[in-house]
Amino acid sequence: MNIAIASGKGGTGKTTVATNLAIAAGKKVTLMDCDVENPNCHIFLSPVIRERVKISIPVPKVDMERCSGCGECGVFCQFNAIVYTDRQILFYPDLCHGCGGCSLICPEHAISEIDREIGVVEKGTVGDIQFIRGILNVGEALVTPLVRAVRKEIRNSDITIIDSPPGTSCPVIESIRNTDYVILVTEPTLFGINDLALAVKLVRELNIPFGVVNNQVVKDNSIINDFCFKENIPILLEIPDDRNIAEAYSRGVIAGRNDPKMLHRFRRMLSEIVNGTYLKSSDFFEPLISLRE
Amino acid sequence: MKIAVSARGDTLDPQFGRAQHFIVYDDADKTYSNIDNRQNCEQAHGAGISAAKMIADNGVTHVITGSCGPKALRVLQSAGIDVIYMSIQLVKEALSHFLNEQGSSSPSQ
Repeated sequence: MNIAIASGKGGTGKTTVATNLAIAAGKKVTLMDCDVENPNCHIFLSPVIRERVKISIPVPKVDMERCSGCGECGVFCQFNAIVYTDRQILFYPDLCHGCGGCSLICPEHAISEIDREIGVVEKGTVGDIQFIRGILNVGEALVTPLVRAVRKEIRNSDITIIDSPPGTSCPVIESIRNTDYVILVTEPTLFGINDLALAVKLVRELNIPFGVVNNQVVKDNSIINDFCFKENIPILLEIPDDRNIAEAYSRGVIAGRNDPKMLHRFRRMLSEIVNGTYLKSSDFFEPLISLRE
Repeated sequence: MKIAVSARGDTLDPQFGRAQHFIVYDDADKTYSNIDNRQNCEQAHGAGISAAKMIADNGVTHVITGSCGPKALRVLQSAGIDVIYMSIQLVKEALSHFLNEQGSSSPSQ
């Protein structure tokens, strides 16, 4: 089963949830860090990396001897990455999405493809956990193809936890698409609810079952609870606004390692997801599991 | 000379790539024409590149604008088009100013 951890707003606690779920899962689990612009799962796990693969996209190389100046490559390109003007081909590598269209469309077969490196995929292990992450090259604007490359590394695991980037953009879509369940992490604030609503829209568009984890909960969480009740969304877990949890995070420690009650709650949430209880949710209102008890 | 001025109505549009339209003055026969730029404005990226290509394809020799991004500038330069930066408000005045500088006669209108 593939479970993606996403959010609208950044900093709500995706990595907290992903790493705690990974250690709660026991054997045959893969943790996949798809936040390739800012991967941080490795900070909490210290994986041993055994393999490092460079990831590139194909970009055009034009043989000017064959180029007739028809400009069809530029007409085809959706991103204005290539244009013919005054006996020259101008190419803009940072706009090219590597679709390969220009090389196919060129009537003179003047365009060949060369690789442009965008980042790396790293694979390793931490105890029983298979660990995979992508790291985008600094200054690189094209993110999604690297996320796609990380996602391709799905292993033969019982559970795969996918830590996604924040937001609702293309890299997020690539991280969460074709998963079995999405956990949306939020916080009981105005920014939290605003961005949760956006994320809910996205996940519904992708037609994947989902639930909410409310992190850093306070006395009155009606800002999130009311929304989830109205929208018929299960609140899977509440994590308190607890200094100990924050301190552990700041030291790169997974809180569940030192807090058996927390670990137990994550295990319960995971087994409820795996058993499909939440897939049939219709009348959940009270948060199913609260760490405040 | 064929001069394109980035425009927003009759005022100079301070940007090149996402200007609303271009007012083109042909110095040879003293005529004006208009090139709509909306299809380029609608693009998420590289609007300046496609606007510059469109300008080049129209045989323009000079561009008057407020500012022009580096990607668009590269296209204009490789097409041999001169770019002149101005902050004069009215297109009419910008053209007159440029033509006076060039030593040509002002446009009739």
